[in-house]
Amino acid sequence: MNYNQLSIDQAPSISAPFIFFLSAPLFAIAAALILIFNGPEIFQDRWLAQNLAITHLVTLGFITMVMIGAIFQLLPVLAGAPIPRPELSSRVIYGFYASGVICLATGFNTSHQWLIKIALFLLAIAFLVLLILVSIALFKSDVSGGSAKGMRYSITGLWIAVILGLTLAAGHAWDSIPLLRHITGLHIAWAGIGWISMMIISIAYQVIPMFQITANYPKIIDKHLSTGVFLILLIWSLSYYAGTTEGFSLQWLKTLTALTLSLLLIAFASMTIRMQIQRKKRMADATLYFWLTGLINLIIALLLYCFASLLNLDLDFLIGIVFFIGFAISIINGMLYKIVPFLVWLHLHRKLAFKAGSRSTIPTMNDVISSRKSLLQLYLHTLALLLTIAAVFMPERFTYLAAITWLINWSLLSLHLIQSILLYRSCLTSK
Amino acid sequence: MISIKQLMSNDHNHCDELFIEAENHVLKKNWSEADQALNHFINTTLDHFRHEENTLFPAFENATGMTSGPTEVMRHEHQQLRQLINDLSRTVEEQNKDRYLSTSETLLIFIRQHNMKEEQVLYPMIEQSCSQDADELMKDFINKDKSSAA
Repeated sequence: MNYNQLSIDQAPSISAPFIFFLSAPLFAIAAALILIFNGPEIFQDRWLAQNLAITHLVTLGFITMVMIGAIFQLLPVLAGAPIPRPELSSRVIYGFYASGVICLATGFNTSHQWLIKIALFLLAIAFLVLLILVSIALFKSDVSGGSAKGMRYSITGLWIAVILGLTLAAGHAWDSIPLLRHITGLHIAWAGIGWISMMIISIAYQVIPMFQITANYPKIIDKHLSTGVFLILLIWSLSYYAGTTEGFSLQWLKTLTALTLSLLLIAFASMTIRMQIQRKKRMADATLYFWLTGLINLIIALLLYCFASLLNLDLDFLIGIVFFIGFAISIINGMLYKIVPFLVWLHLHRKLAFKAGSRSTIPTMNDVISSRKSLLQLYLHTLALLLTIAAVFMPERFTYLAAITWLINWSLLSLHLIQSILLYRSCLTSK
Repeated sequence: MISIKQLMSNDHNHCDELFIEAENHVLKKNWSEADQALNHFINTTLDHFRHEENTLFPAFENATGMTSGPTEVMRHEHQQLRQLINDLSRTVEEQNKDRYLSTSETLLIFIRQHNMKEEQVLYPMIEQSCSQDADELMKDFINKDKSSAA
């Protein structure tokens, strides 16, 4: 039993998660700018280098950026497993990671191989430090239960996604190394399901009952869902890989596992929506609507995937947008509106609450980011998502509209986050 | 033998329900019902804190010799929670709905993550270090429940 798990300094200082949270919208803004500069052509071919730039600005620059920040904050609470020296390690990881993502996106966007080479090294170092620290903390932790278990799988998923991603990037960076394009499907699956979805599921186990006072997840979901998803993803990967070998096809197994996997995730999403509708806390807020939007999009993405694989259709663009933006970004965006105001309050309270005369100046969560502000951004986000989906079908008409709406949307999110940290600073300095 | 973790976790859930009941009354601006429900929440929560601070934590500290570890953190968080609870009472007196909802949101997240740390880490530690005395340690707490139910 680790008696230091609840030591007073286990929660990192506010800067450890915030450097990641504050940077994330900037990468998304860069993605919107690339879309504006390239226009409707983007939707002609998913393999365009600009598409790889946009995809990685969104998945690494926004989604994974926020998730890394959240790990620093949540690991001690959800798994009783703090990361050692969080201030130092968060800065080291951030430095390599942020510059790595910038180099990777610029490298793809301008087709400069040397930038991709640099990106590969920077990202490899960032992920290696992160994954080793988090893996040690998680596997040393005694905390059992669905959430901690899911996090272990999700970190394993990230290991696999990163190794596959680095292999692919090496193919882009060096002419002498073959570009193994056929493993792209594996890379996307492990990043999207193994890492992102698994982490969102693990966090949902704790935060859905916590924010909305719902019933807990049924035992069978809490105990077995993450193991099921992980194992089926593993079998799917083997059959996928077998399918790329000549004269050897496990197509039936690939389809079967893909459908089962989709079914499991649809079950999770529908269960969560049902719990949220039946919640005891009647008050609804932007975070709740972001979650509902995300879960509905997860269901749509999976249904589209099943539909496409059964009828052999190419719906990659649509599925990618609905999954990564509609599902993952919606939920992450919604979570930021809880985590950021809460952390501002928590750290101010710690610093000021027991000083004479300073208590009345501590802002509540709603003072940090008001519900009016977060609802406004929710509407913009939903509008931008719908416009992007429309752009898949009518690129000429909707691409610029979608890109500009994203630009405004993410600038607004960025503004809200910057205002939060400015409020935090002004409360501290006014004392 | 009874489980400290189980009983104390059940009490957390009970407190959550009372808390939400008060908030739902505030949403509808039923101030007298809100006041009543909030007081019920406050009394139950403060009883819970008292049992931890006066009985469970000292037993753990005696058994392990750790006085500046997890129990100190939890005591400190109780202090923070008491302040938030006072703020909440004041907003009911002022019948300030927005202020109430804003404070209750903060209190809810803080108390839930506090409870989570206790349930996942501290209670198992207490059960392990004071396994022989669980019945004795929880006797008054269970009797209190019975007497308030009656």
